[in-house]
Amino acid sequence: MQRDGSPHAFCLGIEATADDFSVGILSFEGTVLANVSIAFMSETGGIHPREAARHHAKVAGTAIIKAFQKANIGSQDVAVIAFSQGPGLGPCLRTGATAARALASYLDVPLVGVNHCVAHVEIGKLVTGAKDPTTLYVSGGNTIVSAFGGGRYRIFGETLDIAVGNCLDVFAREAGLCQTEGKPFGAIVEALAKEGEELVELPYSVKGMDMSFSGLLTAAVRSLKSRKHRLEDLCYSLQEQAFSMLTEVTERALAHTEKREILLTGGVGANRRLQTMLKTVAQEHGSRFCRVPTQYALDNGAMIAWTGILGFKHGLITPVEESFVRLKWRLDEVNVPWVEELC
Amino acid sequence: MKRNATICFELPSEKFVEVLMKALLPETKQPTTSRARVKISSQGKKLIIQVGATDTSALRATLNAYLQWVGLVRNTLETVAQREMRTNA
Repeated sequence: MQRDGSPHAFCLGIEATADDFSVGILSFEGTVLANVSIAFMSETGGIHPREAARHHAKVAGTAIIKAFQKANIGSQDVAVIAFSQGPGLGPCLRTGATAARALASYLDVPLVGVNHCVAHVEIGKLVTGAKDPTTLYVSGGNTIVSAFGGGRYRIFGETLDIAVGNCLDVFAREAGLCQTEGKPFGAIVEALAKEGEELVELPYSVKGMDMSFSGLLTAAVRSLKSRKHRLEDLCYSLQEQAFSMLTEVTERALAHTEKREILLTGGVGANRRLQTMLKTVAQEHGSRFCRVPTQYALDNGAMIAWTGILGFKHGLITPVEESFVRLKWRLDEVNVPWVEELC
Repeated sequence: MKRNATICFELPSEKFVEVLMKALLPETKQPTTSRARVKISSQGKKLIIQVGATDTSALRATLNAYLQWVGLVRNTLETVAQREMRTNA
């Protein structure tokens, strides 16, 4: 095993932007050796940043040791430590960054700060084989349509207010639904939507190439409280409206960029209805539809480790003393020098 | 700063202190609030965290955050060190 970046070196990545504390270990060739996640779950749903950070601090040691055990490597085999530097919730990011700095200093290896959104795209490309996709990244915290151009991932459309996952989660909480481990709010809404029959009128907000979900949420909650419609019909209508907006913007970005692939990632990407809609668009444009498997579509340490490797290979090392977290670090602010080599 | 607190940690080794210093220093340079300031220093195997705050709430919140991070680093390093011992055995 080597620490000099040779093919037998490994990168340990720490993801802690929101409710998951996750540790991934990858070889420099891109083989995932471990991807261990421990999720913070509150009884009422939602994420209290300080409570989530407390959870992360408590489970960090366990997650790291489990990752080492699963990868079957020793700490001396780690050549690089990568961490999610932003965007995300401050207390969670700081906890992940502190663990990463400590490990990098203790093992005396370089540290690489990784943009969480870039990491979602990169792991998606690695596991699906997509080369140059138009990406729809949909989760509880992000809703972004992007594609590579001029050294960076460019944002073609995004939410103007809340993320689509947040819209679905808040609606589910307002409806009194309860999430459990392995069955998040999104999956519960999806299951109810399958039983829906009537399309309830809800606002459709695409503004230019951007989307707005807060008005849609307010209208759906108002309809829920009016008791004029079945919950199943409201879930169905909410999904149809939200996913149509996402699909429209993705299709327009695809047509504009003339890319040949659509990459779907993020937690909401697990929704079958959204997958079907995007698959149809891809077929109509002669493009390949690439869905990131759920374990890599959710927040995970493997994506941080992989993007850390890509950055490290291009000299993007973050000095420990300058490894400040970046709460609002946008996808399109990050140079991705490794991508141009592939295109 | 009206409220002040100083915590001194006696740690297993000077390396441990050095690692903790490196892990925590960036956080002192990027405070989350203007209501509290943190200084970190070391003396051999001792790590000293000094917090100054404008009010008790800010003092408590800052102390909680740093105590949590010290626990996190200690837990992480001990876990990795145990793993190293087993791998080398």
